[in-house]
Amino acid sequence: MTTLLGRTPSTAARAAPLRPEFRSGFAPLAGAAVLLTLAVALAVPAESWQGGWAETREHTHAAAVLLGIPLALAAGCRQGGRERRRGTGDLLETAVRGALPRFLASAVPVALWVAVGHLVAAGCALLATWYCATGDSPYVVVPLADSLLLGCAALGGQVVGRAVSWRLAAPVLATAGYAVLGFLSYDHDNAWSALSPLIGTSAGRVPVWWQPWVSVAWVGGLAAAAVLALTARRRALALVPLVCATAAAVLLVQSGGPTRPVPVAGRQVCDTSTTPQVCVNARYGKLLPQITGALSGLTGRLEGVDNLPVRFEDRAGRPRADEAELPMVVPLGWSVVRGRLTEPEQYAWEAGTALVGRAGCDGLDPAVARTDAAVEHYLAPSPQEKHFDELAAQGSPADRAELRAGQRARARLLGMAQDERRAWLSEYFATAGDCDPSGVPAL
Amino acid sequence: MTGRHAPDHLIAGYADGSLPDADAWSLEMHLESCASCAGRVSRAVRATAAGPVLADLREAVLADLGQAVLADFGRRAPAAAPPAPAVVPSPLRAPRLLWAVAPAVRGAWLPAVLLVALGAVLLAHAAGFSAARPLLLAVAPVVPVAGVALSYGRHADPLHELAASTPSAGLRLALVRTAVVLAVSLPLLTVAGAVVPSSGAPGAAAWLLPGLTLTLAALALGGRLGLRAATAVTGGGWLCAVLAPVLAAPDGAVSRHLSDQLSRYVGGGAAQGGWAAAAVLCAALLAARRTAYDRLERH
Amino acid sequence: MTTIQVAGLHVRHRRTVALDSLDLCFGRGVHGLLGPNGAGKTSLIRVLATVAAPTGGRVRMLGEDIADPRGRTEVRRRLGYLPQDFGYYPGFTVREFVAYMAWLKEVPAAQIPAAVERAVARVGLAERIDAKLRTLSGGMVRRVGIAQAVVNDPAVLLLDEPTAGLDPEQRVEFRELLRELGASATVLVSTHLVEDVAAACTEVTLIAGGRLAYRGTPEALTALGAASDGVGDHPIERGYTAALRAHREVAAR
Repeated sequence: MTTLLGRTPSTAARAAPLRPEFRSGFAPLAGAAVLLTLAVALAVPAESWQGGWAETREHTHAAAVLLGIPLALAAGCRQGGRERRRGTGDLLETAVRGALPRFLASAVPVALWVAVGHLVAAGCALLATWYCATGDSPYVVVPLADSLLLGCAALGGQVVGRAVSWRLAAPVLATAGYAVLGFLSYDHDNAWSALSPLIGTSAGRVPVWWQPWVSVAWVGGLAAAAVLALTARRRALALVPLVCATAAAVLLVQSGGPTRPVPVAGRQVCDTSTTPQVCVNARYGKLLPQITGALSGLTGRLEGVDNLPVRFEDRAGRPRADEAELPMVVPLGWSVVRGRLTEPEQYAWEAGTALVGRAGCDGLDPAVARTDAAVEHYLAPSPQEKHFDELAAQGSPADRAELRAGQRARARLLGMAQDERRAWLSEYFATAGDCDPSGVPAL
Repeated sequence: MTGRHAPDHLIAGYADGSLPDADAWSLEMHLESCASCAGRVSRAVRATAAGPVLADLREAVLADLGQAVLADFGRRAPAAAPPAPAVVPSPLRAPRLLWAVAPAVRGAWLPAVLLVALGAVLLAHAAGFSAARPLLLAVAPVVPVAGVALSYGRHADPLHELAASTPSAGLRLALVRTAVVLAVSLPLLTVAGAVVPSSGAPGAAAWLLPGLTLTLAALALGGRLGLRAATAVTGGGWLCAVLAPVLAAPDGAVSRHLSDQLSRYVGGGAAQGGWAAAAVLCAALLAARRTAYDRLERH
Repeated sequence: MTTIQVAGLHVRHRRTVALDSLDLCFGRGVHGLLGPNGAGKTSLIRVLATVAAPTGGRVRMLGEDIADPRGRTEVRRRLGYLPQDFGYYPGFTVREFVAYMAWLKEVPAAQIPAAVERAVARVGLAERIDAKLRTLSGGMVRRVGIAQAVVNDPAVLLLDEPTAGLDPEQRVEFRELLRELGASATVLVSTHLVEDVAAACTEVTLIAGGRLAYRGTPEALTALGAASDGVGDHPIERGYTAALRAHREVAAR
């Protein structure tokens, strides 16, 4: 018979006693739940952010704050109620280690796994954009700060779970968290809206470098104050993180959600070999070859024509006097999906319309409208043109007459000789954008 | 009942009606198999005030019946003589039986269903919330799944192990309880959806097929995973797929995104056809695995 | 005539083997089931109660094969089972609860009232028959469990730790009930309390490590204990430890 003393403890028994909490149990499940939810939330609208680093940042940040923080709160709350559910409270009260180490021993695994789950989801989103990125550079500070936010939220949720002995505490806390965050984030007129980690940014504006970290200090300070208030022997110690959190909150509210413009959004990448030149915003500069290719027919036909705008521009705001607006590439998911132009012919037609420039005129003379349509047809026909022509052919006699007149105009323009056409187009483009029909040459 | 024959004091008490019910029943059980005691009881009864009345009754009955019946009657104990035994009503009245048959309805689930239905109506009409119907359509399919989770299985029913050893155990019991859950939730939530204004969301009855499919899928999975895990997977999966992309929209137009999402999932003939096919598939799967419910849930 | 026949029964939970090729027969009478914790007693009772499916082997009860669903339902009508973790509805009265179990066991509706009264009287709770279950002590609740197990006059009665929580006087009455039941039915009692086994059982089965360790009468077990100096305070305890040791020596070889 072997005695207990005769056996030497194996190395496995000497391993960290806190490791089982990290390896199995609720913590990995919580991380997996966060990962799954964020993955679904990002995968369904994937067309609207894949390919653009700024859009990816917006979507992952919104998902992390609006979905990740409530989930982290609920996971922490459920873990906090564990002692009560399992009836181990009395046993643990007799332990020698203080309340704070005991709390952290059960809380840190959940916080860590939730943060890891978010990091993996954000990483997958970054990877999904990386292979079809159109320019700009990845924003990695925001996901890192968000992971810290989720960890702090899990710790705070655990405090609530310990204090409140109600079966429905976790879902109610998550719903309340979502309501508060949603209210703060979307109501931009509110003075307190800067307290939400999700401040109002856009594709061209990014938070200043210190905003994510001050947000972490704000949320983390609240969580640390709650933890210390629950477990520290000297409760007054909770005032220290509370003061830090208050300072961070004051800073956030005073600055009002500070953002700065992204330099790359103000620059353009140009192709000067065509007439007119094609300039694309530097945020998706890699699209320039595709756009130039889509517009190649149009620019080729405009070779040697005068009175054209110098270039197509793609900056924020109205174009200058000698420039035309490039058809919009953003928001992603419409003309550009995953770094490819979805409908090049449609895009070229929109560019032609921008050159003609009379889309905003009311009460246009029918002859001028017919001339415009003929020019658009020559430069880059719309993909729906055939469909509308068929509709007109089956319509009323007035429609059919209009169709015949339009077709005559088109044929006349196409039938001109090269030089004659160039001269005619130069004369035509002298009046482009002008709603007054008097100077427009007839066809 | 000890000994080979009933003691005299019991018989005397029985004859004049002073015997407690339990002992009276025990005595009657004994009388069914002991003729001599039966004779003693009838003699004791005839000696009481009821004797002459019983004698007349006996004459009348014998006069009506033939000799064969008389011979038969003579062998059996004249048990028509018990002095007004307390008529024991059936211990299991219908309300109690219904209470046991429908665990989900008697607990917190019914108030939750009413809350969802009334809440949607109030939100739409009193608070002017425009996304009330999409929200109702998003939450409604999960309600019967939650009801199923609360009505069967080892975590929901304390009698699960005992009931598993009875002839009534099996898929039939689970289906009866599921039918009760569906009968309560389907009309309530559909009527609430019809009352709420549409605002671009699919029709009020668009959630019926998805709800039925999710319930059948939870039952089919429950045979393998245990009903608690199966309902968590199906209900949680639906909520995640519908709500997660909507709630995390960076532009904040939650109601519009919710309507779009629901139109994609449950709106239109193709989507409903897909749900119907999935429901048939889940039902077939459940029928194939019906013996999984015959035993105790292991999880 | 054997009521229960078990041939090559094999039960596995995840990766541990609970019962390993067990062959047993039970006839009328009271059979005690003894063994260390984790030996497989509860697994055996669960398989015989048709609430758990065996991984291998065959079980025939009352002439029916319980692997067949129809046979299973037929056996369940004549079966009484009291599990170790006995769950109940606290709001039900004793009468309502036993009547509900009788209804579940498909006792004909007309016979239910009488059967309920009889079963509750047999366990000695006749004066508390209309009390709610939540007002009863643990031992009384256990007796209600025994009442529901006998309400349909079962031919096979399976009791898993039936005397847990009963005081000594109640245990004496319970043994009397067991003897009475064993006269007409096959009763299988799994217990740790060897005095109950000694007093009420006509046969003792010892299961250890998923295998059969000993089969015999209580007197033979006592004699074994006296002969091979087992450890224990009660003569049956000494027989128990002696039989276990012998079985483990055989298994180690």
